[in-house]
Amino acid sequence: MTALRASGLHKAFGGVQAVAGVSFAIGRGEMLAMIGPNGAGKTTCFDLVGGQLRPDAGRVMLDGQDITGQPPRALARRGVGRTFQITAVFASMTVRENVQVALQAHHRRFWRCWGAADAGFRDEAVALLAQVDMQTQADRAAGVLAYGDLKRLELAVALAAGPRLLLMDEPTAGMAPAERTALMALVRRLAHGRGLAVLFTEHDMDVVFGVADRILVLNRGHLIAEGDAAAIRADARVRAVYLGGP
Amino acid sequence: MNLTRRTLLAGSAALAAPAIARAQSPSGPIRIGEINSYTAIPAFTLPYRNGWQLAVEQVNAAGGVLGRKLEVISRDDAGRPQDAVRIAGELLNEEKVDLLAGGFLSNVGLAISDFALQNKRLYVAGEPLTDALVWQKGHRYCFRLRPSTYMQAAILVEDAAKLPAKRWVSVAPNYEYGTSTVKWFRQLLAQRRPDVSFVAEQLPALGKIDAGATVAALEAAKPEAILNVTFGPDLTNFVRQGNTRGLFEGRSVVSVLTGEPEYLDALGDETPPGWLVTGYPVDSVRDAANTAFIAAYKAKFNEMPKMGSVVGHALISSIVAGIIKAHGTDTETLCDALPGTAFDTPFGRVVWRAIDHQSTLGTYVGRTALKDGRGTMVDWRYVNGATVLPGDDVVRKLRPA
Amino acid sequence: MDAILIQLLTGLAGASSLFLVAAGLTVIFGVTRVVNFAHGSLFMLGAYIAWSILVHLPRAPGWHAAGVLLAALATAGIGALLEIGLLRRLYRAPELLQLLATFGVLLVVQDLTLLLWGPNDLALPRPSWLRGSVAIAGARFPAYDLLLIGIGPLVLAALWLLFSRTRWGTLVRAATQDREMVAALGVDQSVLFTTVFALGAGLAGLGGALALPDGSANLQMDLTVITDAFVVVVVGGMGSLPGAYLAALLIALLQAFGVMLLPNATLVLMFVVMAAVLAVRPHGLLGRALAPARGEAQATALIRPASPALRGLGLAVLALAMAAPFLAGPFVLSVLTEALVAMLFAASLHAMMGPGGMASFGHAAWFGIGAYAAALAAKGLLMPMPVGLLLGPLLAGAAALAFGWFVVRLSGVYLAMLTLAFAQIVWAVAFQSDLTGGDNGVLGIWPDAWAQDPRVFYALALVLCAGGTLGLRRVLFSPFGYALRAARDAPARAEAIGLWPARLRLAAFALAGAAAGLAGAVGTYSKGSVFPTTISISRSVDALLMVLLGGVQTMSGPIVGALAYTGLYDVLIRATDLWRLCLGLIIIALVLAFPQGIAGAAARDRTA
Ligand SMILES: Nc1ncnc2c1ncn2[C@@H]1O[C@H](COP(=O)(O)OP(=O)(O)O)[C@@H](O)[C@H]1O
Ligand SMILES: [Mg+2]
Repeated sequence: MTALRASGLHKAFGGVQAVAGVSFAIGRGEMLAMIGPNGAGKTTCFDLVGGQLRPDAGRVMLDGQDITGQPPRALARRGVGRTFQITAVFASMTVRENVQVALQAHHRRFWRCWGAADAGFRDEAVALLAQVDMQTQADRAAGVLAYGDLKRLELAVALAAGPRLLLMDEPTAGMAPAERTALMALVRRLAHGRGLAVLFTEHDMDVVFGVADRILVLNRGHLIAEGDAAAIRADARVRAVYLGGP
Repeated sequence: MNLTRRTLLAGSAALAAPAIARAQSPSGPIRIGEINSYTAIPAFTLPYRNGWQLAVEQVNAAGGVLGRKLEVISRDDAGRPQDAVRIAGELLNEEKVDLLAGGFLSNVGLAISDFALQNKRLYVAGEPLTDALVWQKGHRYCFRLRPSTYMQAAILVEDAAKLPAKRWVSVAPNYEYGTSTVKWFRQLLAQRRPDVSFVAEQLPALGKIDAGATVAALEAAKPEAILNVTFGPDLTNFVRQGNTRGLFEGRSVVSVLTGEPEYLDALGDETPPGWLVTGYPVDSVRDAANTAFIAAYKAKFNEMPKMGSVVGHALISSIVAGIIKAHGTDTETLCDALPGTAFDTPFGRVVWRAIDHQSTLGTYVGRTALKDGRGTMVDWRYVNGATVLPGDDVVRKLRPA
Repeated sequence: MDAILIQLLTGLAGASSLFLVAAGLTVIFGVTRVVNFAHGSLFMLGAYIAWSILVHLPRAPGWHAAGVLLAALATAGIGALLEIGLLRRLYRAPELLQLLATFGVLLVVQDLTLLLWGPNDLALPRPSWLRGSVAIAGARFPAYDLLLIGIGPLVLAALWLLFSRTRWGTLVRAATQDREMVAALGVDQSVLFTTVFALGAGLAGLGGALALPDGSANLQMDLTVITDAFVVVVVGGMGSLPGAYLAALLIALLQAFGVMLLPNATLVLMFVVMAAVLAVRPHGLLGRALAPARGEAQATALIRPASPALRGLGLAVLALAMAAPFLAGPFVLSVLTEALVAMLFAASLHAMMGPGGMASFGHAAWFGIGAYAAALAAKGLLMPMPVGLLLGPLLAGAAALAFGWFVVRLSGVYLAMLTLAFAQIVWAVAFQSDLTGGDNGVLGIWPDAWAQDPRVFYALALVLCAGGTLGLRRVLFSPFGYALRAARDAPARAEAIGLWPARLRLAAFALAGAAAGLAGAVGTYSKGSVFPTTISISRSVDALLMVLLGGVQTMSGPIVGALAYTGLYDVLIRATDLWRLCLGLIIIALVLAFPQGIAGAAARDRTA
């Protein structure tokens, strides 16, 4: 089953064509990696799918429904979760409260003006934190976490809404190699276990080739290759992009 | 906190009077609670303070009032009516003053007046000009000393009506004082000169006059005469632009308050000659009352008094006269005694009108002139306030209370 | 036609004056991000210093020019001292804290100027060359204004050359864009900042000195000029010099022609222009979205519910407050009532400024609308007090909701200035409308008979204001409060989990407006009258001061700040003529001692 289908996405910033005619699909439970050099247009693709940006042309279909140009908050309700390349957590809250807010948002409690917020969804929050191995840090301030912990917290926050599609822009940047593998293995378990579709970018090729079911390669806004690890390794254009040459 | 720090107490022995002694007692000092915008508008309120300080000193040197010393507890309102109300409460409840006095800004005066009405205590306003203080919002407990907006306009209209000019323009600061002065002036002038018309009106924001544009706009209306109500920094800017652009040449200018030293001094050698103004010709008055006052003032402060000094001095005299007539400081008795009471001021004998609690203190009207590179008033005469106030039937309509 | 030409030239001269005032402010902001409230004070000092110098010099043009430059240099020196002695210590403090510090400076300068130069306006006698005029279109146009028309663009060009053609300028521009990068390159930032601040101050001084021949040095100049300067800077786009000139041109020309067409609009014209520009261009005419305020990472403090100790302290204070009617006399009760009103007012601003991330320079608008709503209900509709107390927050909240729609799209100082524009428009309406009694306000709004006893009214104020403050606090710890804070901490992340930051901010804005309106309504009945001064800029600044003094990033900050500020103010104003000097110095000392605010410092000590 196709969870997400993007077709013919275009986005330009002033004169820069950041994304030029990109199409792809992700199936339920699939781990799809998007790789490419810096400036290839990966983050822009994520923003187009996640609703942060509106495409100049092209459509995005989620479970067969057109979601093109819908704002992120609407997509969140439809089961799209997201982590950001530039990590952003709620720095004035504790780790657990970060997840609690996400849970409250998911359960549409955020217009409630009465009752203490930190009493709601405590156990659920701790359970989510346990999934990413953060339960021991639940009461720390999110603003002072180490980089790798921030990334894990972001994942827990994104998972709080029980997403069907997870967009992860460089989820392991700044982590030690062992941590990366562990985190992505966890994501892969979730994907395969819950039928969660995952689109992620990653610079560590060992991680990519280790966890991705399928790989997209982007260069200068164009999709230049698509396939499994072996196919990508063998692709001449990919080699040219990554190893230099014409 | 030293609450007595700003307490002026002549015969200074009692300066450190303990708090208990402050409670009203027939033998203790008579305490006036005074409020004014000392930090917000120091150019006008500091000479005023000198004026009442001089008066208090003179009263106490002459043995006080009814054998009691006179004491003024003075406070700064920072130019904010809400602060003035709080301070009025402090003066009444903590300092146990016998009555309230002071005020420069109209809204501060109105706020204190309303507070006085609510608490049934006497308030004698010194400088606030608004007509509302004694007319629309007037009441039993409020009295006002200085000639009001209406009176200033009425005094000038007498002479303005004799001018040949028919095309008039006005420039006034954009707030109640400015707009109501213009309103009265136009109304009173129209009664005497139906042929006169106002062809342009400028209302610059107070303190923010765009003088060049304002002068050019007035010039463009090709007036024969100009009514000016601006004062302070705005007036200086307006006069300088007007002088350079020749706005005043060949035109009559009628200008409110401009002859008061507070405003005239700043104009210096740019004082435009021949303006018809109200003010205080402090350098050329020669009558006994003025001369004595000026001499005493100069002796104490080493400078010439200003209009505010006269108001400050007269304020104390007016209160003292009332207390003497009432034989005490009981509010109700005082409020019964004050109407009709006469008192002496540097400008001569003045009476508290019974009908509206306005004093008949007048002002000088004359023409501006340059003398030794400074502005001064010439051809002046004193106009008694009583002569320009409207008839009793008119006042009764204006004053519901 | 001739009249139009003359007004055009007059407008151009006005534009130069406005630009000179604003240029220094925009330079300082662009580089240091300091919102310098003392800019008007520097302008005023420039005028006074120029007066003192010029009265001693021969009055020939060359001497005059030398005197003006000397005054500008002296002001630049004062600016450098200010930067080294005060602001340098605050670059890492929470945003807008420098605003509090520079407000302290403003107060100190007001009293020092009065002490040094006396209360009277000081008009510089003009020699004949300064009085001269040129015949243009059949009218006499001041030669000095022609000079000013030229000086504005000349200064703009000089600044442009300085910033684009010198090494210093290159470094300054680099620092504007990326502070860390410049620091990493080994450039001494503190020297850079000091020189920039001195330049900005010198420009302010130059503006003051050049304004002298057209008027006088007077004690109102600082406040007169500061709003103009901020409006020009914001309309032009903060940090943009060409933008500032363009904005000065736009505003001065509109003003020059405005006085001919709409003489009554002088009070608001500038603010209407600003509101209109910001509605279309959220970053001003030539401004760009700003990188996060500081190169140095700015830690957001962790917000925790009150600790048992703090809760105990709060309860003790509340118990004391409830006992007050039995212990204190009417005056103390009136002061306490005022403190309660201030507390709710500050708490309402804090709700939008702290957790909502929206600082406001015009919060008095809602206070004032609440105050007038109560007053007009009582006087116009002859309603009993409870109706007024209800209408106050309702109308203020509704107005905030309507206006917030424009506001919440903006951020930072632009947002704050748009609220100021709205407050000024509300102020002008109150000031000029017959319905509101204009400048003379609405009088005689005393409590109903049952509440006229000061003790009863105090109890009522305690219930409403303490209740309102605690209610706000509760809301901020509710799911809504957390969502609001989430939207402030990381807007993109908040949207990605399904929150709608703009709506949350709008709701917070309306809530803050309603709470301020309640404070205004209570304040009106406690004072018996309401005047346009309740909507004045200084009232808005009071609220800001209280919040910043207490600490933006703590929940108890506004309470502590309001009580400290009203207490200090009340004690000082009764104790000494120099209360501004004392208050200013105390504010500066507090800012230096507790950059996180008083409550912020206490909270840090607890967690440390
Ligand atoms: N908001 C933006 N404004 C202008 N250019 C942008 C913006 N976002 C991205 N770009 C440009 O689009 C291109 C793709 O960027 P991005 O999607 O961030 O690449 P990647 O994530 O693959 O490194 C780059 O050339 C980048 O400079
Ligand atoms: Mg990227």
